[in-house]
Amino acid sequence: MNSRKRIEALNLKARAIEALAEGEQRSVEPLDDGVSGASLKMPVGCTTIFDTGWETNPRSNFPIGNCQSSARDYLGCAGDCWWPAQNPDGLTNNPDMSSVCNNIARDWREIK
Amino acid sequence: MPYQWADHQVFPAGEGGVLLGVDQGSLFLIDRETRELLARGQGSAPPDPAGLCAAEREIMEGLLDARILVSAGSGKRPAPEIDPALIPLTTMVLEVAQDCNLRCRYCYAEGGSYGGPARLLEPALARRAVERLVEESGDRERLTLILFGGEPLLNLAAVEAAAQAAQALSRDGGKRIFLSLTTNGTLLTPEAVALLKRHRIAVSVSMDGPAELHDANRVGVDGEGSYARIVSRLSGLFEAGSAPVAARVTLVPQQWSRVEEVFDHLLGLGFQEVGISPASPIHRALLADAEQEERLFESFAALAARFVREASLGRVLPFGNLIDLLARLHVGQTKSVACGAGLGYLAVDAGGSFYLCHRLTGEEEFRVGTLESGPDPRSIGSALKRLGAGREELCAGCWARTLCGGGCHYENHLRENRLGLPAGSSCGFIRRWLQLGIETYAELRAGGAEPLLQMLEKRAKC
Amino acid sequence: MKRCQYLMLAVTLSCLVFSGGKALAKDLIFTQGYNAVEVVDTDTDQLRYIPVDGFVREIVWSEDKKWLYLTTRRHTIVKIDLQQMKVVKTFDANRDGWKRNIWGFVLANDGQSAYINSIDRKVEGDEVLVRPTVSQIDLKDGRVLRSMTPPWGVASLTYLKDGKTLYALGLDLYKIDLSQKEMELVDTYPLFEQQKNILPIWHFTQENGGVFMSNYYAPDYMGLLSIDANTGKIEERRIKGPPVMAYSFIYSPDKKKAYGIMEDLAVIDLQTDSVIKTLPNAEGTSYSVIPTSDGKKLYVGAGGSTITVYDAQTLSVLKVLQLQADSVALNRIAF
Repeated sequence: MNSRKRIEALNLKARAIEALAEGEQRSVEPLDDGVSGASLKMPVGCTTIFDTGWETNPRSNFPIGNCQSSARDYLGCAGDCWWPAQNPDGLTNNPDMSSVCNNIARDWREIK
Repeated sequence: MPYQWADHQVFPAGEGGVLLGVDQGSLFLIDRETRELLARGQGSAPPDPAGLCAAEREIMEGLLDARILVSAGSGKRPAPEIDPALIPLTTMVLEVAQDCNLRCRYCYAEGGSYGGPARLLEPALARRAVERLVEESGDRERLTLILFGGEPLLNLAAVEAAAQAAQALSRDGGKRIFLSLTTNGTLLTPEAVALLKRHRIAVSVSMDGPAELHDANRVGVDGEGSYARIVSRLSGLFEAGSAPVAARVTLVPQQWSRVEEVFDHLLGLGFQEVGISPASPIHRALLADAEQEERLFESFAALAARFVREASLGRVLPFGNLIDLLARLHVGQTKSVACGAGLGYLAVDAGGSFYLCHRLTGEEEFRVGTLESGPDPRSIGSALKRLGAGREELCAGCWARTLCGGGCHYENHLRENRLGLPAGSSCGFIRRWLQLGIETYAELRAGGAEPLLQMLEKRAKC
Repeated sequence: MKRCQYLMLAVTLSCLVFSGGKALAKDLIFTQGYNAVEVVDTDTDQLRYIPVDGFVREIVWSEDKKWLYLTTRRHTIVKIDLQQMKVVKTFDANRDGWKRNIWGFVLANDGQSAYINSIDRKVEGDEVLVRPTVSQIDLKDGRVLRSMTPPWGVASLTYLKDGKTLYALGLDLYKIDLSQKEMELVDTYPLFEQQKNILPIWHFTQENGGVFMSNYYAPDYMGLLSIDANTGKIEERRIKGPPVMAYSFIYSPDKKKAYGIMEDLAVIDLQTDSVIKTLPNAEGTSYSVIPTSDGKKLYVGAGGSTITVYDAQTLSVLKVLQLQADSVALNRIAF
């Protein structure tokens, strides 16, 4: 953080950019609330560092260039949200998602 | 990983400098070594980190954190496509009277009538305009209605009607409508002042300073100066004391060396804020030469220096232009368009037609709807497109583009289409002014003017 | 000593010869399906559909293989009679105003209770309270018998056969003493500070004959962490070569190999701790690979609504089973 002396945020936007950069320097670090001393405030099931879902399929097979799991495991996004897919959440707001449609390839037309 | 420079600009300050990240509107203070490294890198690719010493690598890391250095191949952020249809109307300028009892020599509204016959807005139409503002405001809760002219106090009936409608609609519609009015001050009768106070209408008075300077341009139909008439009315307005009263100053190039004198005179009269604009060059005689432009800049710089001195004493010099600029610099606000014209902001003339902005009122090609049918997003879109044509190429290489947004539509229209000047004739002055703002901001920062900056933050966000 | 080893070998050989005559075991594979558990008989690959309410996550079964317990929607617990293949009881683990999200689920020795770990949420006035818990619950109705607060991030549990120790795995591995009245965290086995990152969701402890196994990733290698529920032994194996990406690993029945799965099926030789083979999944992303008890076939699924059956020797695809419901991982009970 010696760079602080050489280049220092002056306005609010610059401060926000510096804050972004601070976040980037951390690779694997628990999300600490800084109060309770608890080390992790990340709900289990959301992406950890090696969890795919953020990664795109590097191969030429299906789903091309898409989140690897999102195509085959659409409901995994709805159940308890492994994947950041555009999909209703099944834990809080749409608990009956999988009752309407428990086989995406077959029943996707049933999703209203 | 290979890197490339993001658009940036360095303004020398002491040993080091102030660094502007153009795309973000971010401002950083840099030391001498960083400034030197940036100067060396100018016009060429960033140096290979492998060939740098530890200190230079540290600088590069800092620049990377500041987003001045970015990964190679990072494209320029495309300008957002703004669809006027999706932007609710939040500010309306209502031409209450397209008539005036003065004939200011630099007036862009041709005696207040905007080129047509003199006419007053019908009170019923004033009410309809306020309703339209609310109808078009979508989910926005804070709306602004600016009562304008001509001289709006020539038409107290319409002012009253608009204010009553605003009050009623605020009450019923869950909206807050802020009212303001710009007047030449000659008609601030006790009756008019009472009306302004009753409806909490914020007032700006157009005045150009001491009698001699004011009367050079702000004359009545009879050619007589208006200074004495206004001054006799001001005390009534100041005493009503509902909201701070600002002075709006317009100066012609011959007067630009006397900005400070004008500023001090108006504060002396009791105004709480003073904003100063150079007169728009409605004809070639109002175009400034380099010498005059230099005088204007010097005066603004002198006021900026006074602003810093006052700030160090915990006071705010009420120089409106600078306060607005500092507020935007403080939060790092950037613009992809110059102003809100057509994008949340429209003018309505006394006949009930919408125009892109108050200054373009009366120009048929910028008429964008009627009170009956509402503003037409397609006309707005095409009018903005016409005004913005060629601007992107012109601005692409300019460090000030995200602070300026391309400049006033009317001013550009006037210079380029009416006077046939090449595009960009006012850019030099705009850049100097913005740089002055950045340097002033850095000075204030160094002086630790925290409460002032908080005040600026509020101002920028409202 | 040498004699003893020969004796062991002889016993092993006789077992193999003996079992060659008749079926070693009957395997049933259960899907963690959406609103369903589907059961595959690996002899015939016939499917049976058991409807349940909500999405299935954890599947465990009693030692006597009479009862199957599932968690659905992360807060209801469903009991299935394995003879009848029918749901016999459902209860909600949400109680006292706390909404639970159950992750780890293991049955206790007493046959009456289970240990769960969950993230609990409650709204009190304007305040949202969230806490991690490890609890022992009554399998009759979900009543909480005792509970404690573990560190954040715990996602699965391993229950040692002696009934005195519970391992909770999150960022690190935590040892919880069950022998006193109150459960107590007594030891932490560090992983995170050693830059070992683990996704401890699928561990197949019951399939592995009581050995929990999960893969972890250090900056430059993948390892396998195992916890033997019979002995309490914790073991880390560093797998040579570039890491393979996998959600889960499972032992081959002879424990000489481990199979891993994600976008690819990976085979690891546990005698040399090296990757023998990887090949892209025939049907896409999968969370589990389950070998049959005889070691001859691999069932890879799910993710979508298919299970791919491979020949374990040649890794060629034998067939693709079509499920009625999409599902997550698979579990196997050997009867």
